[in-house]
Formats: sequence, C-alpha cells, structure tokens
Amino acid sequence: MSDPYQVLGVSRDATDEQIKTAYRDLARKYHPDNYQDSPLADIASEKMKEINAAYDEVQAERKNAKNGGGAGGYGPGSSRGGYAGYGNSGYGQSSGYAGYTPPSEFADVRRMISQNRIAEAEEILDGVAEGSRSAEWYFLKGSIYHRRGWFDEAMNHFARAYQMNPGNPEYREAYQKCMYQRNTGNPYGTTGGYGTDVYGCSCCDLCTSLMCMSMCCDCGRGC
Amino acid sequence: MFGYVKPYKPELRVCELETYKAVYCGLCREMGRAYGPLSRATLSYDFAFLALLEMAVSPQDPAFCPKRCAMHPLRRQATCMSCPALERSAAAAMILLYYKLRDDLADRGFWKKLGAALIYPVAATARKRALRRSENAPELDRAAAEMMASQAALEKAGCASADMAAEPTAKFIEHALSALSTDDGQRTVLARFGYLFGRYIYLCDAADDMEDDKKKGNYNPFLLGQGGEDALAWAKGSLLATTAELAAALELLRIYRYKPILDNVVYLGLKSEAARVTEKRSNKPE
Repeated sequence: MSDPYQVLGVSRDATDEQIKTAYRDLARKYHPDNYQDSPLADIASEKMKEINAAYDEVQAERKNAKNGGGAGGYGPGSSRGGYAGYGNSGYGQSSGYAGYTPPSEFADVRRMISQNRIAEAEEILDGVAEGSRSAEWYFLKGSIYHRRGWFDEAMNHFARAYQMNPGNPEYREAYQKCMYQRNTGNPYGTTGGYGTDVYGCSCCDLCTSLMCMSMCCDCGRGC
Repeated sequence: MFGYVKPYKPELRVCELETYKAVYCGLCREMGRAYGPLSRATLSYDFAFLALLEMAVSPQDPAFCPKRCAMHPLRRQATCMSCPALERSAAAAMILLYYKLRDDLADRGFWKKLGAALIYPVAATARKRALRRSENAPELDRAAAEMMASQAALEKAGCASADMAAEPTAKFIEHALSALSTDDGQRTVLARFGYLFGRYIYLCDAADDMEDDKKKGNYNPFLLGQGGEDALAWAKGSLLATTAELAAALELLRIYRYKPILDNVVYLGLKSEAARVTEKRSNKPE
C-alpha cells in the first residue's frame, strides 16, 4: 500500500489540523456527487476509498503515538465518519440515485446505467413513446447524455425533468449542477486552488447565487 | 487544431512558464528535425499542450538543454529534448495539417484554395514521413480520415446540434489520448479527458468563427442551434460545461509531474479563451 501521507498530500510532520483540512479538501473534490453522471464515477469512488483509508491509517498511527507508541489498543479511526457523514458540515447531502432508491418506473434502466451498460439503457428509454415520457424519463435520458459528454442535450433534458416535477430533489440537483457548471466552468467541489470555493454553500445559497447571476446577465444584455 | 489551449500566464509561476516554453521550443525543434523547417511554421499551442500532457502522465523524466534557434539567436533557450511525447505530437500535427489542407482544397474560396494548393505537396510528404516514423501514426491517420468524413457528412446534413457536431473531433482526440496508457483505469480517464478536450476545441473554434460564418453563410452549429439570438451566450455555456467536466477528469488522472501547469491550463486558460471567443461582440465599442 502507498504511503498514507502521500495520498493525503501532506508531510509526515503536518499538524492534526492540517491533515484534517487536507482530508476535507480531497473529500470535497472526489465526492461521489461530483461524478454522478460521469463515466468516471467508479474511478472517483475508488479514489475516495483510498483517501478514507489513508486518513484512517494516519489517525490510528497518531493516536497510537500519543498513547506512548503502544502497538495494541485502537483500531482504525472512527473519527472521520466517512464521506457520507461529511454531509452534516453543510456541503449538501448525497441524494443521488447511488445511495437512495426512490420508487422508480425505470428501475432496470437505473441499474443498467450504474453498471455502465449505457447502450442497453438507452434502447429501453428510446422505446418509450414520445407522448408518454415522464419526468424520470427525461432525467435518465439527460444522465446518459451527460455521461456521453453531450452537455447541451443533458441540460435540456434535466431542465425538462425539473420543470415537469420541481419537487423532486434528484432532478433539481442535476439541473442545478448543470447550471452551476455552465456559469462557472468549474466542477463541484473544487476550483483547482484558484479563486473562491463553493465550500459552505448550501443548495439554497447556490440557487440564490444562480438567480442573481441570471439577473445580472439580463442587466448586462439590456445595457 | 487552432491554438485555443493555452496557459493563463498571469497565474503561471516563472519556472512553470519556462517549462511550458521549453516544451513549445522542443516541439518546434522536433518538427524541424523530422519534417523540415517549413513545418515549424504550423506550430500551435494545442500540440504543445498534448506533448506536455503526455510527459505529465509518463513515468520517464523529460530532458532539457539550452539551445539557440533562428527565433532566439542571441539567447539560449531551455528546450525539451526529443522524446516519444514530442515525436507523437509532431506526427499528429503533420497528419492533421494534411487533412485540414485537403478539406480546404475541397470547399473553400479561391484564395484559401490557392494557399492550400501551395503547401499541400509539402504537407503530403510530411504526413507520409510521419506514417513511417511514428509507430502509432497509421492508426491516428485512420482516425483523422474518419473524423474528416463524419464532419463533412454532419455539415452537409446541416446538423443543428453542437453536441453532435463536436463529436467527430472529440472522438478523434479521445482516440489519440487513450493510446497514452495501457492501464485500464488511466485509459478510461484519458479517454474522457480526450473526448472533452476535442469537444472544447471544436466548440471554441465554432464560437470564434460564428460572426464570420454568419456573414459568409457558412455552416456553424451555433447559428442553427437553440441559442437563437443569444447564440454566443449559449456557446459560452456549452464551453464552460465542458471545462468543468475536463477539470473533474483531470483530478482523476495519475500524473507524475507538471500538475500545476495542467491545472493552470484547465482551470484558467480554457475558461479565459472561452470568454475571449464568446465576448468579442460585447467588448466592441458601440
């Protein structure tokens, strides 16, 4: 296994606080939500596991050292609480279809998408007659487009799903993520060390800032 | 390719800029060495970035050496020495140049055609040499031919979807980049990065040419697409969505060196180019 300090990108003499910050930054960057409709979702979740394991190892090692270097005692840390628990710091809960399965008319399609069987999933979706396409249909179709890298179509389909069923958090989040990317050019969770971060933004903040942005744009055009 | 992939210099550290320049100079020298001095005139930022990316994901360290050249006769400039990354980039540049000229010969105005006809023989020789020199070149050449054919078909059909119109270029770069690794995970990330990179280049070029194409009645997906009056704003959205996902892919690449330079290009350079090509009109004095 590789050096856990290297995985976290900190030196061995970093303070506990520095390690915590490094872990939080990485967890934010590789959060499953950021790779939801991407062909790289599996790779990102592997990366997240690696980071969690490294953090646990470092925590355990430090605890042991503090307790006089005794070998036994504490098992791998429970201090991070996993990135699932990371949501309570205000980052926004993972509401994606990976974690929570709402009642679905397309359970099979969702399963295929999560197994990367995109062509089959698309075939089933395309078999649905134009008149009887539900909000969920548009959401799933958008998700396939997003994986393919067709972001205009993805955005149109997510917007349609959201418009048909504004109360559904899944559709809302997908649509908002698209809008955020189209406005900022940044992925969720990181700005690559440049400029301001979205950390601490709740979904509401995001929504308000998007509204502000669109109002500003309108002004700009009017002038 | 057209030079839309550049670092954002104000945020680049001096040593990073030196490295970038050295790769650029190295590519120029490599093209001169392998394909004759004329080929150096076609040097572009995009291929320098491709070479830099390949160096970043390869375990071997590139070598640098101070060199003089016709452009820098007085001061020796740190230059990257010939290596597989530079060879591959130079070969790709020649192959694309050849197909670009063939395209120009087929359907451009008189002056463009004349210009293309003048350089065409040189480019054809360079491409043949590239096919002989580089191991991956024949496959790349096939992919380029495919790209040009599907692009022409899309334009002929008057494709109104920017997503669809960008696909041939995107698939071509996807193909080119996934050849850079044999590891499955890394290949998947490189393929995604390549697809989005090609998409970005195509869309940037389309947005940049929009005004021109409108005047001349040329094909442009944004003019036919859903943006309507706000075609430039729509194009900017498409471009930014692409850079966002490019950044997400970059974070998953296993990189041995130059991460800060790649970050600079992806997080800042691409966005500043996207803004430049989509905000031209509003910057003009009324």
